[in-house]
Amino acid sequence: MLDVRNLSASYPGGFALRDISFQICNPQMTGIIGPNGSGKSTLLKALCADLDSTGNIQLDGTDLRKARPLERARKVAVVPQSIEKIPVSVLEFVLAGRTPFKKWHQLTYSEADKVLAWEKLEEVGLLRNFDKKTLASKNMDELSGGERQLAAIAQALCQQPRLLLLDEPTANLDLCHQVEILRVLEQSLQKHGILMLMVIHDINLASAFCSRLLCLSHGSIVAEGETGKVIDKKLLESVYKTGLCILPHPRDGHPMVFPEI
Amino acid sequence: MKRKFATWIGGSSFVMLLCLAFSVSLGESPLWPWIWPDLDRESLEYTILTQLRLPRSLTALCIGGMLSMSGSILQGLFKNPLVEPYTLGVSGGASLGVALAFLCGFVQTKGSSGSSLFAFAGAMAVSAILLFYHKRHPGTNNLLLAGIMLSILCSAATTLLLSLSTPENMTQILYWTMGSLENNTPDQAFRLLFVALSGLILGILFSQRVNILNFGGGTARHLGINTTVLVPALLLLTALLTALCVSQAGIIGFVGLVVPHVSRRLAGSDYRLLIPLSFIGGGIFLLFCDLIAKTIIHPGQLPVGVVCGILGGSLFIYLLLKPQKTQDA
Repeated sequence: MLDVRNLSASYPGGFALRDISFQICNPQMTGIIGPNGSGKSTLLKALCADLDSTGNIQLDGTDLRKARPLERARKVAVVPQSIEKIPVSVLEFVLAGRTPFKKWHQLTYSEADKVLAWEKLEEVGLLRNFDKKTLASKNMDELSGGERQLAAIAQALCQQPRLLLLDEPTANLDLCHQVEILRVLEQSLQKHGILMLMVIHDINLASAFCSRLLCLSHGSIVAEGETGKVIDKKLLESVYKTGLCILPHPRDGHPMVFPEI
Repeated sequence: MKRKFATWIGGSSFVMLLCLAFSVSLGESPLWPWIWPDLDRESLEYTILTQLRLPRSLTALCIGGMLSMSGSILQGLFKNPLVEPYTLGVSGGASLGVALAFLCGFVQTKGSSGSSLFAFAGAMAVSAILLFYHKRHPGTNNLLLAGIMLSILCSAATTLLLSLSTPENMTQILYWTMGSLENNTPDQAFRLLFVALSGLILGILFSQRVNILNFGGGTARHLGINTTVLVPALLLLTALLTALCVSQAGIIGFVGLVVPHVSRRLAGSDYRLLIPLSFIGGGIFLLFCDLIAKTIIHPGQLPVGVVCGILGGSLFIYLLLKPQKTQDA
């Protein structure tokens, strides 16, 4: 269980997060929505200790704020918004997810780690695009943006985390890769029972894939709960400061949000 | 990986030993390895071999190795292919230390241990300022800028001291900045070898961490790397090795920039291989430069730093003109 209590954080310019409290109890995909500058990515930074904060962040009884980086990395994995083009083989990149479990002077990965890395590469679907031999010799700078993002998810899954934090994992990707990545995450969630917290700008994708939503505005939570309850015309109009139209999806009826033009 | 590692390290070590043998053998009169066992311990040749050539060649090997390995670690740490051990002002600090020593009259000749001590102190003073700065302002970009500024400041201060020096002192300081591998006793050379090998072992132990740092500081932290400890530790290691090199041999440029580049192009960006390969490559490069420096204008000698600059600069321009397959650092 992730239990966040009275979390506040600030940048030199002023407060970025004010008194944030929420809980994630079951393995589920929780989306963080809100306009630009509302504190979504800052919340993620505070949760993974990239930003100094006050308050309490407990994950299954461990205080994440006070945990050492190694201890934290054994429980929490982070997928950033974009992955740099680095001249490292895809397999080595994914294997790096085992770093928190290696001794500091250990230079190579065990066979078990390699088996796990291939499993995760298969799980995220990269072995559908390339055969094993090609992928073993491919470098990260030879992959497309979407494929690099899938490799980053495979690396995070290799950490076998309890909590997976994702900062706009579908940003700058085409529709096909957006859906592919969210489906991969959905399947991993069901398979491994991970708690997932994802910053997502696209409310329609959030509505389709997230079972719970946190809506942030000016560094505070303005709404929290099941997706259907948070996607409320009045609430979203006040948060996004624009007229919105909410319609049910023709197939399964989940709410779809359109701006009034 | 294991096969690639064995091929590169085995092959380059063999070339390094060949270069070492050549370097020890060649000089004013050649002393080839097959006559070494027959040399009389009291003979002049034996003394030349053990007291002059072997220490000089070992010094070249160690200094080339340490500078090049430091360069590859720093390029990984800063994710910047233009960083070399001298970029952060270590050489500037050493030059300033030596210039101060001469100006204040603590040192009279460039080969004395006093100049080495002042060079080391100057280099470490700059490194200490940088480490202190890094503690207060984390971030490698800030650190790089601070290093460049310190380097410029030290260079300006050295020029100021040069302008206030006597012509004799000015010559000594200028000659020191050109770099030289002479004046090392066998004891000093073996001590340097011990430090270089210890540095190499530490570099190899850190290599996997440098690989992860190369993914980006944020990713490294998320993978459990304590960057607030690792970054200063790597800076301290490279600063110590560079300060030792500069104090022993003056300023020998380009080794720490060119050799890591060549090694990366040849063997890829895995620092587990790149760090030892850079060390061996740096040793080979400096042995080769020293061989040219001591034989090309025989019976005279060129400053090895000058040969390194000319060869390294030409090689670097060639690398820049050659199409690149993967991105650097």
